[in-house]
Amino acid sequence: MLDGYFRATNEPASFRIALLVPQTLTKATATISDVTQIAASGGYTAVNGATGLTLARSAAGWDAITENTVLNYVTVAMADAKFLSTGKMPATGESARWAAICDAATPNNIIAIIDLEFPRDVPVSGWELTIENTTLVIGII
Amino acid sequence: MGFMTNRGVKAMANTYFRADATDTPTTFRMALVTSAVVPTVDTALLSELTQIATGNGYTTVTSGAGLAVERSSVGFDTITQDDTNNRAFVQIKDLTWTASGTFPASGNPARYAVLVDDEASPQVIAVFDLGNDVTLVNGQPLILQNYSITGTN
Repeated sequence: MLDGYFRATNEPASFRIALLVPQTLTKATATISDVTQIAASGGYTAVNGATGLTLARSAAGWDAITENTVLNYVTVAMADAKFLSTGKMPATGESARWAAICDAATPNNIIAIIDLEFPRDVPVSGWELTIENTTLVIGII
Repeated sequence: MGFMTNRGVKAMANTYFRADATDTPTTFRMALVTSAVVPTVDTALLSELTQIATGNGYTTVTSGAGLAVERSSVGFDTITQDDTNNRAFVQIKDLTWTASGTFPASGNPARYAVLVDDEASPQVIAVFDLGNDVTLVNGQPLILQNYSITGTN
Protein backbone atom coordinates (compact mmCIF):
# COMPACT_ATOMS: atom_id res chain seq x y z
CA MET A 1 0.00 0.00 0.00
CA LEU A 2 2.90 2.34 0.78
CA ASP A 3 4.42 1.47 -2.59
CA GLY A 4 1.19 2.16 -4.45
CA TYR A 5 0.29 5.39 -2.72
CA PHE A 6 3.65 7.09 -2.43
CA ARG A 7 5.49 5.66 -5.44
CA ALA A 8 2.64 4.88 -7.85
CA THR A 9 4.18 1.42 -8.13
CA ASN A 10 2.52 -1.99 -7.87
CA GLU A 11 -0.94 -0.49 -7.83
CA PRO A 12 -3.35 -3.37 -8.48
CA ALA A 13 -5.78 -3.15 -11.37
CA SER A 14 -8.16 -5.23 -9.25
CA PHE A 15 -8.08 -7.67 -6.37
CA ARG A 16 -8.66 -11.42 -6.10
CA ILE A 17 -10.14 -13.48 -3.28
CA ALA A 18 -8.63 -16.90 -2.64
CA LEU A 19 -9.91 -19.64 -0.36
CA LEU A 20 -7.22 -21.42 1.62
CA VAL A 21 -7.17 -24.77 3.38
CA PRO A 22 -6.26 -24.95 7.07
CA GLN A 23 -2.62 -23.94 7.48
CA THR A 24 -0.39 -21.66 9.50
CA LEU A 25 -0.30 -18.13 8.15
CA THR A 26 1.80 -15.26 9.41
CA LYS A 27 2.24 -11.58 8.68
CA ALA A 28 5.25 -12.58 6.64
CA THR A 29 3.14 -14.71 4.28
CA ALA A 30 3.81 -12.89 1.06
CA THR A 31 2.31 -14.43 -2.06
CA ILE A 32 -0.24 -16.96 -3.21
CA SER A 33 2.68 -19.28 -3.92
CA ASP A 34 3.33 -19.48 -0.18
CA VAL A 35 -0.10 -20.92 0.65
CA THR A 36 -2.36 -23.82 -0.31
CA GLN A 37 -5.72 -23.05 -1.89
CA ILE A 38 -8.71 -25.37 -1.81
CA ALA A 39 -9.04 -27.63 -4.82
CA ALA A 40 -10.15 -25.85 -7.98
CA SER A 41 -13.47 -27.59 -8.28
CA GLY A 42 -17.18 -27.26 -7.63
CA GLY A 43 -17.17 -23.64 -8.79
CA TYR A 44 -13.94 -22.52 -7.20
CA THR A 45 -11.33 -21.10 -9.56
CA ALA A 46 -7.87 -20.99 -8.08
CA VAL A 47 -6.34 -17.55 -7.81
CA ASN A 48 -3.36 -17.33 -10.12
CA GLY A 49 -2.45 -13.95 -11.53
CA ALA A 50 -5.53 -12.64 -13.30
CA THR A 51 -7.73 -15.66 -12.61
CA GLY A 52 -9.98 -16.17 -9.62
CA LEU A 53 -12.85 -14.29 -8.01
CA THR A 54 -12.39 -10.60 -8.75
CA LEU A 55 -12.94 -7.72 -6.38
CA ALA A 56 -12.96 -4.35 -8.11
CA ARG A 57 -10.44 -1.69 -7.16
CA SER A 58 -13.14 0.92 -6.78
CA ALA A 59 -15.95 2.01 -4.54
CA ALA A 60 -17.86 -1.00 -5.90
CA GLY A 61 -15.32 -3.46 -4.53
CA TRP A 62 -14.74 -1.50 -1.35
CA ASP A 63 -18.01 0.12 -0.53
CA ALA A 64 -17.14 2.27 2.49
CA ILE A 65 -14.13 3.98 3.99
CA THR A 66 -14.17 5.59 7.41
CA GLU A 67 -11.70 7.75 9.29
CA ASN A 68 -11.89 7.37 13.08
CA THR A 69 -10.17 10.39 14.60
CA VAL A 70 -10.96 9.32 18.15
CA LEU A 71 -9.28 5.93 18.13
CA ASN A 72 -6.95 6.78 15.24
CA TYR A 73 -7.64 4.20 12.62
CA VAL A 74 -9.21 3.91 9.20
CA THR A 75 -11.59 1.16 8.15
CA VAL A 76 -12.20 -0.04 4.62
CA ALA A 77 -15.28 -2.21 4.11
CA MET A 78 -15.10 -4.89 1.43
CA ALA A 79 -18.06 -5.66 -0.77
CA ASP A 80 -19.54 -9.12 -0.25
CA ALA A 81 -17.59 -11.83 -2.07
CA LYS A 82 -19.70 -14.73 -3.29
CA PHE A 83 -18.46 -18.13 -4.44
CA LEU A 84 -21.28 -19.91 -6.28
CA SER A 85 -20.93 -23.66 -6.20
CA THR A 86 -21.47 -25.91 -9.21
CA GLY A 87 -21.23 -29.01 -7.08
CA LYS A 88 -19.62 -29.78 -3.77
CA MET A 89 -17.03 -27.06 -3.26
CA PRO A 90 -14.33 -28.13 -2.92
CA ALA A 91 -15.03 -31.43 -4.58
CA THR A 92 -11.90 -32.95 -3.08
CA GLY A 93 -9.40 -32.17 -0.39
CA GLU A 94 -9.66 -29.92 2.61
CA SER A 95 -12.31 -27.27 3.19
CA ALA A 96 -11.73 -23.52 3.22
CA ARG A 97 -10.43 -22.17 6.53
CA TRP A 98 -9.07 -18.80 5.41
CA ALA A 99 -9.74 -16.28 2.68
CA ALA A 100 -6.92 -14.20 1.26
CA ILE A 101 -7.29 -10.82 -0.38
CA CYS A 102 -4.69 -10.64 -3.11
CA ASP A 103 -3.64 -8.29 -5.85
CA ALA A 104 -3.61 -9.44 -9.49
CA ALA A 105 0.15 -9.72 -9.91
CA THR A 106 1.90 -12.97 -10.79
CA PRO A 107 2.33 -14.42 -8.28
CA ASN A 108 -0.45 -12.62 -6.45
CA ASN A 109 0.70 -10.67 -3.41
CA ILE A 110 -1.40 -11.38 -0.32
CA ILE A 111 -2.71 -8.12 1.06
CA ALA A 112 -4.87 -9.36 3.92
CA ILE A 113 -6.14 -12.60 5.47
CA ILE A 114 -9.71 -13.25 6.62
CA ASP A 115 -10.34 -15.87 9.30
CA LEU A 116 -13.35 -18.00 8.35
CA GLU A 117 -13.29 -19.35 11.95
CA PHE A 118 -13.79 -23.01 11.00
CA PRO A 119 -13.46 -25.13 7.85
CA ARG A 120 -16.15 -24.28 5.31
CA ASP A 121 -17.43 -26.02 2.24
CA VAL A 122 -20.53 -25.83 0.10
CA PRO A 123 -22.27 -29.20 -0.08
CA VAL A 124 -24.41 -28.88 -3.19
CA SER A 125 -24.58 -27.05 -6.48
CA GLY A 126 -26.20 -23.63 -6.51
CA TRP A 127 -25.35 -22.69 -2.97
CA GLU A 128 -23.06 -19.81 -2.17
CA LEU A 129 -20.20 -19.27 0.18
CA THR A 130 -20.42 -15.56 0.95
CA ILE A 131 -17.78 -13.53 2.72
CA GLU A 132 -19.70 -10.53 3.95
CA ASN A 133 -19.28 -7.54 6.21
CA THR A 134 -15.50 -7.75 6.07
CA THR A 135 -13.62 -4.68 7.16
CA LEU A 136 -9.91 -3.99 7.09
CA VAL A 137 -8.67 -1.85 9.96
CA ILE A 138 -5.60 0.23 9.24
CA GLY A 139 -3.89 1.86 12.18
CA ILE A 140 -1.78 4.93 12.53
CA ILE A 141 1.96 5.01 13.06
CA MET B 1 10.78 10.74 13.68
CA GLY B 2 7.44 11.20 11.97
CA PHE B 3 3.92 9.88 11.79
CA MET B 4 1.08 9.55 9.33
CA THR B 5 -2.14 11.38 10.08
CA ASN B 6 -5.56 9.75 10.12
CA ARG B 7 -6.31 11.69 6.95
CA GLY B 8 -3.12 10.42 5.36
CA VAL B 9 -3.98 6.80 6.09
CA LYS B 10 -7.47 7.33 4.74
CA ALA B 11 -6.14 8.89 1.55
CA MET B 12 -3.68 6.02 1.16
CA ALA B 13 -6.38 3.37 1.66
CA ASN B 14 -8.78 5.23 -0.60
CA THR B 15 -6.14 5.30 -3.32
CA TYR B 16 -4.96 1.73 -2.94
CA PHE B 17 -8.25 -0.07 -2.52
CA ARG B 18 -10.70 2.23 -4.30
CA ALA B 19 -8.55 4.12 -6.85
CA ASP B 20 -10.33 7.22 -5.67
CA ALA B 21 -9.51 10.00 -8.15
CA THR B 22 -9.64 12.82 -5.62
CA ASP B 23 -7.40 11.15 -3.07
CA THR B 24 -4.87 9.90 -5.63
CA PRO B 25 -2.20 12.58 -5.81
CA THR B 26 -0.21 13.57 -8.85
CA THR B 27 2.56 14.77 -6.60
CA PHE B 28 3.27 15.47 -2.96
CA ARG B 29 4.76 18.59 -1.41
CA MET B 30 6.67 19.27 1.78
CA ALA B 31 5.72 22.33 3.82
CA LEU B 32 7.43 23.90 6.80
CA VAL B 33 5.18 25.02 9.62
CA THR B 34 5.66 26.81 12.90
CA SER B 35 4.77 25.58 16.39
CA ALA B 36 1.87 28.02 16.58
CA VAL B 37 -0.43 25.07 15.94
CA VAL B 38 1.10 21.68 16.75
CA PRO B 39 0.17 19.08 14.14
CA THR B 40 -1.33 15.85 15.46
CA VAL B 41 -2.68 12.62 13.96
CA ASP B 42 -6.02 14.42 13.68
CA THR B 43 -4.64 17.26 11.58
CA ALA B 44 -6.41 16.95 8.26
CA LEU B 45 -5.61 20.01 6.16
CA LEU B 46 -2.57 22.19 5.70
CA SER B 47 -4.82 25.19 6.21
CA GLU B 48 -5.14 24.19 9.88
CA LEU B 49 -1.43 24.88 10.37
CA THR B 50 0.75 27.97 10.06
CA GLN B 51 3.40 27.84 7.37
CA ILE B 52 6.54 29.89 7.80
CA ALA B 53 6.69 33.15 5.89
CA THR B 54 7.28 32.88 2.19
CA GLY B 55 10.44 34.29 0.67
CA ASN B 56 14.21 33.96 1.16
CA GLY B 57 14.20 30.39 -0.11
CA TYR B 58 10.80 29.21 1.04
CA THR B 59 7.81 29.02 -1.27
CA THR B 60 4.46 28.67 0.45
CA VAL B 61 2.93 25.28 -0.28
CA THR B 62 -0.37 25.26 -2.13
CA SER B 63 -1.91 22.65 -4.41
CA GLY B 64 0.35 23.83 -7.23
CA ALA B 65 3.37 25.39 -5.55
CA GLY B 66 6.08 24.62 -3.06
CA LEU B 67 8.79 22.00 -2.77
CA ALA B 68 7.60 18.94 -4.69
CA VAL B 69 8.11 15.31 -3.74
CA GLU B 70 7.39 13.24 -6.81
CA ARG B 71 4.89 10.40 -6.47
CA SER B 72 7.39 7.89 -7.78
CA SER B 73 10.58 6.09 -6.89
CA VAL B 74 12.30 9.44 -7.39
CA GLY B 75 10.37 11.19 -4.63
CA PHE B 76 10.31 8.11 -2.42
CA ASP B 77 13.59 6.45 -3.21
CA THR B 78 13.52 3.39 -0.98
CA ILE B 79 10.86 1.00 0.23
CA THR B 80 11.61 -1.80 2.65
CA GLN B 81 9.63 -4.75 4.00
CA ASP B 82 10.74 -5.85 7.46
CA ASP B 83 9.30 -9.30 8.18
CA THR B 84 11.09 -9.54 11.51
CA ASN B 85 9.34 -6.54 12.99
CA ASN B 86 6.23 -6.75 10.80
CA ARG B 87 6.47 -3.34 9.22
CA ALA B 88 7.34 -1.57 6.02
CA PHE B 89 8.77 1.84 5.48
CA VAL B 90 9.15 4.16 2.57
CA GLN B 91 11.95 6.71 2.56
CA ILE B 92 11.59 10.21 1.15
CA LYS B 93 14.34 11.62 -1.03
CA ASP B 94 16.54 14.22 0.62
CA LEU B 95 14.90 17.65 0.55
CA THR B 96 16.75 20.95 0.77
CA TRP B 97 15.74 24.54 1.28
CA THR B 98 18.57 27.06 0.97
CA ALA B 99 18.23 30.42 2.69
CA SER B 100 18.62 33.49 0.51
CA GLY B 101 18.55 35.88 3.43
CA THR B 102 17.17 35.36 6.88
CA PHE B 103 15.03 32.23 6.91
CA PRO B 104 12.20 32.47 7.51
CA ALA B 105 11.90 35.89 5.97
CA SER B 106 9.79 36.98 8.93
CA GLY B 107 7.73 35.58 11.75
CA ASN B 108 8.16 32.36 13.66
CA PRO B 109 10.75 29.69 12.82
CA ALA B 110 10.07 26.28 11.30
CA ARG B 111 9.39 23.48 13.77
CA TYR B 112 7.64 20.79 11.70
CA ALA B 113 7.80 19.51 8.15
CA VAL B 114 4.49 18.23 6.82
CA LEU B 115 3.99 16.10 3.75
CA VAL B 116 0.83 17.08 1.90
CA ASP B 117 -0.98 15.99 -1.24
CA ASP B 118 -2.00 18.25 -4.12
CA GLU B 119 -5.71 18.60 -3.52
CA ALA B 120 -7.15 22.09 -3.84
CA SER B 121 -6.95 22.30 -0.07
CA PRO B 122 -3.91 20.11 0.55
CA GLN B 123 -4.39 17.23 2.99
CA VAL B 124 -1.72 16.54 5.60
CA ILE B 125 -0.39 13.03 4.98
CA ALA B 126 2.54 12.85 7.38
CA VAL B 127 4.24 15.02 9.98
CA PHE B 128 7.91 15.23 10.94
CA ASP B 129 9.23 17.01 14.02
CA LEU B 130 12.41 18.92 13.23
CA GLY B 131 13.40 18.60 16.90
CA ASN B 132 13.72 22.30 17.56
CA ASP B 133 12.85 25.64 16.04
CA VAL B 134 14.88 26.17 12.89
CA THR B 135 16.12 29.46 11.51
CA LEU B 136 18.82 29.89 8.88
CA VAL B 137 21.24 32.56 7.81
CA ASN B 138 21.86 33.53 4.22
CA GLY B 139 23.26 30.59 2.25
CA GLN B 140 22.60 28.00 4.93
CA PRO B 141 20.64 24.90 3.88
CA LEU B 142 17.92 23.05 5.74
CA ILE B 143 18.19 19.43 4.67
CA LEU B 144 15.67 16.71 5.48
CA GLN B 145 17.70 13.56 5.06
CA ASN B 146 16.51 9.95 5.16
CA TYR B 147 13.05 10.84 6.45
CA SER B 148 10.75 7.85 6.28
CA ILE B 149 7.15 6.82 6.77
CA THR B 150 6.45 3.54 8.53
CA GLY B 151 3.49 1.24 8.14
CA THR B 152 2.82 -1.74 10.38
CA ASN B 153 0.21 -4.46 10.78
